[in-house]
Amino acid sequence: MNQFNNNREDVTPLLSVHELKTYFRTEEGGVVKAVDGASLHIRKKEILGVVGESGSGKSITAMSILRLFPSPPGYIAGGDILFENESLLTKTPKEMRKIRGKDISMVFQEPMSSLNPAYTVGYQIRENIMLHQKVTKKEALVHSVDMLRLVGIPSPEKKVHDYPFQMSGGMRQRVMVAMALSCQPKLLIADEPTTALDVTIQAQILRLILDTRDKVGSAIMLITHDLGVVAEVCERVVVMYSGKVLEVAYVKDLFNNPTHPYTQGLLMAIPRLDETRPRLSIIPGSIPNPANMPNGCRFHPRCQYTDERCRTEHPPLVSPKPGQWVSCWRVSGEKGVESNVIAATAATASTTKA
Amino acid sequence: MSLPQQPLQLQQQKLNSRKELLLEVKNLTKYFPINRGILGREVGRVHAVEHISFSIAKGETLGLVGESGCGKSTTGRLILRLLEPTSGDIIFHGQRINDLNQNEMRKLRKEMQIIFQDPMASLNPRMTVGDLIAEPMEVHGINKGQNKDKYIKELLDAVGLRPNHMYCFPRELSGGMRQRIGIARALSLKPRLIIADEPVSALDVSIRSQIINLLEDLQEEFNLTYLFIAHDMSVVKHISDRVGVMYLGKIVELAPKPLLFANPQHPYTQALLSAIPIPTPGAKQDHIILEGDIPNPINPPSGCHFHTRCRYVMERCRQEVPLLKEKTSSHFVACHLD
Amino acid sequence: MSKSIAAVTESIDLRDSRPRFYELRRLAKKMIKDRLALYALIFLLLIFFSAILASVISPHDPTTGDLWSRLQPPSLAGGYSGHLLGTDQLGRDILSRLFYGGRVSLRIGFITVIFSSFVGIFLGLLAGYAGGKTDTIIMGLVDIQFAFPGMLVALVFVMVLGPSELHLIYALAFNGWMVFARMARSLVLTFRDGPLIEAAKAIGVKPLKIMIRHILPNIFASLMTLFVLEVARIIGAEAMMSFLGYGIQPPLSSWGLMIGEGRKYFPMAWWLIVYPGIMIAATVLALNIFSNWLTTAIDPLQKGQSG
Repeated sequence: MNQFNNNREDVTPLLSVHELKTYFRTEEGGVVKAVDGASLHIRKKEILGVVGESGSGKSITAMSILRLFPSPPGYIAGGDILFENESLLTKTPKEMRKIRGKDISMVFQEPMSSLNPAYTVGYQIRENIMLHQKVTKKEALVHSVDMLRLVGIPSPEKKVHDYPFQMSGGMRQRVMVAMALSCQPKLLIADEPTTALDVTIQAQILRLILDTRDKVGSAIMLITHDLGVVAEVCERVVVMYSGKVLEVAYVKDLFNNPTHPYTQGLLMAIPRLDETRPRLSIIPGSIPNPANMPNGCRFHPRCQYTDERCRTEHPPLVSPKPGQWVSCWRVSGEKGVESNVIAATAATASTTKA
Repeated sequence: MSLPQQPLQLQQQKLNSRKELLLEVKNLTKYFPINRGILGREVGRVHAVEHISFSIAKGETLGLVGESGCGKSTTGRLILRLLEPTSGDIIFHGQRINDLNQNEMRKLRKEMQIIFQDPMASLNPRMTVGDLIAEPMEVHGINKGQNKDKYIKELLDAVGLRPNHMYCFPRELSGGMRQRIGIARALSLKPRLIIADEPVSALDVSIRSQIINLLEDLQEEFNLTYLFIAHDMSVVKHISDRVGVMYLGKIVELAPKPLLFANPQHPYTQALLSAIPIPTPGAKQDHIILEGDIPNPINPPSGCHFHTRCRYVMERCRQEVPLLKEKTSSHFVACHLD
Repeated sequence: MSKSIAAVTESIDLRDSRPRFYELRRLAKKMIKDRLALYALIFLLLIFFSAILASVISPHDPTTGDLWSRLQPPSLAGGYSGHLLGTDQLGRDILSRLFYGGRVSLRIGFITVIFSSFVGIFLGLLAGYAGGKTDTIIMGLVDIQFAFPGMLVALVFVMVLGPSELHLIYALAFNGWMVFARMARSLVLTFRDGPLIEAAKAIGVKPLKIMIRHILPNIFASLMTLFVLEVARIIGAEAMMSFLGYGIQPPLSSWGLMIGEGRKYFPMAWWLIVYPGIMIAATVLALNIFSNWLTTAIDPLQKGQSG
């Protein structure tokens, strides 16, 4: 069932997450619903931004795709993840290992913790290549050098023999990207890849990520909390909050016409270089405790438009216009569009123009 | 790129009317020795802060920005003498404080306080919120007995918390609330100067504006002077009156906020501003992307520290250290370009 | 006006409103889940209470023996019914001697470690916090003392001062402080340059107060686990010293002494050494298990997390 279809020729998304629920059991016997019904999709060669603050579930969603979260206490409680029309949830661990690093790769926030300090950088890239492709050591080494060159590391033939501790943070992150790209993945997931880096280095890495899409042809899922990064690099955006997806839109629409009160609040609350605001607007309250989430709409305690329905029922994702999805009673209530919208869109799924 | 004149004039007026300096720093330097061997010989030094000078007027907010290794956090700690300067002068309210002994310094601490980046790490997890806020008063022997509790509740109210929070432990509260506790604690001694070291960097984006607004309100209510240290230019631009940009231990540019952002003179400032992603899609077309990495502060480049990454580098830059000079009124730049 | 920026939109926006002693309750719940640690703790409590109540529960006087009933095997193996675990070479009841011996072993274990931990932790705190020369000198002392084989030093001590319980405690404590000093010092170092201590300094708290109020409570739990391990070690050490004849002297009983005295009669009168041997091994094992469990259980508590 393809609910996110709109006016692109490529109808089938590369990756589609549908109502994913990833829960964690706590020591005291409770359950933390880290991701509670998230849906999103990425098309080939698309750059999708996933924005959220702490507790939003954005990282866990990414880890669920590659099944990298600690398995007790975490488990997938529902939903599905389709990659090239095959469900990832039914794959065996062996099959998942084949996919990781080859079809879907991931880059993490802290390059020092993801790289093995005991092996050279070249060894680690080579290892990934040889794991997935039948090549000789020499060929893999040549390919590693090429990858380092691709990510802009100077003198790659020399650097390939360096250890991670000999490199700066920015360089290590480039190595991570090189490793992730070494087998031409169809999808690259980057989880806060620049958060730990300085601003001037961040600019380099972001440019690198854009180049990646052009040179290697991967789709990119960029997870971040920085709206500036999203505006600069992404084509479409998914906004997550407390385990749920609140809004999905094309970047221009999201920033010029945010629909969800959370997105609106967020855009008004951040200080900006290009505007002078005498006083920042605020979103009152705090992010809910994952172990003790509010009923109904997760955002309602902080929302100025809350009404009775928001307190009791969580609004489903509806599409006020093509390419845009919102989970808010204000929008669904207004347009009188409710849960039948999914059926309605499914009915029009085969049409390519909207 | 230039802003209208009106705010600039107001800015200048603000500066002139509050010319009384609260803090002056002259040629402040800090080297950290690197010792090797059994006898602990010094084999090298980390050039954390090198010959920096600036001043902060009463009631003003000076923002200090820079990337890692620039020395901004070290500067904050040197002013409070949590670290001892290698050389240079720190003059607080007209008094040179470098040579004060431990006891005199302790008395002075009532006047200058610090707010930390990580609210959880700077609050003792075994103390209640009330104890944490009361500790400075206990140490200095003020406000005993009933007055103490009353005052704590007033402080909690001033930072937007409830009186009942006095009995909670920090782990029971969210990040934003913990930061408010840190702020309340810093306020408890009624200081004149507050050094805010990355006070919102560790907080979620939707909470940051609450704390920024709170800091602004408190500044007015209690007549505070801020040294606001951050790496996030947008936040610094919002809250500061003047801004200093640091690179590898040196101040490369220092100017009133509107001037700095409208017309950055130093190549590093230009690159820094250009590198920051703006939350407006399609906004930035040209980027100055600096190549290379930030050099190691143990062995900074000769002459101008920035010369290895500067697109206007000249021979002079490799050899001579540029001094911080006043280019136009109140706008200081350390660069050989003229 | 700052009042308008309320952080709280509901009544009390608590992250985690658990009751006060939740740490202890949590530990208790965890222990019930980790059966092995629970059994170890139960065992230790049994030993502890039997030591306290030794005079009440011992069937016989441990010091007076009935020579007519010497070297009797345990009652289930054919000995007299009044002696559950048999008698020793002087006709003294083994079971009673085990109870009284436990009292001695535990007493020596705890008192010794209390001495050595106080001295060691104090010196370690000082070395870690003050740094510089103080640190070098104290750690130098630690290294020097570590260089000497512990048992030999203890033996020399006792030989010079004369064997007695008090002298044994001195001897063992003298060799026990170093490990506390090292651990306390390294724990202090993890805190010393961090924001917690910086905050305390910025307020103007005096160094001694910083150590007692801010550092010590946060490192206490780790030191507890070391304490338990040391008690286990001292019990073993006392057993060895008494076995060699330089520890507890007759007519007092200690488990080590019982083994020493009963050595001659092995393997015929095996019960003379097997039972005290089992007691030593079991107690040391239980203490180790408990200490291990404590280390993993308190880890999140150390960081002040809500678990």
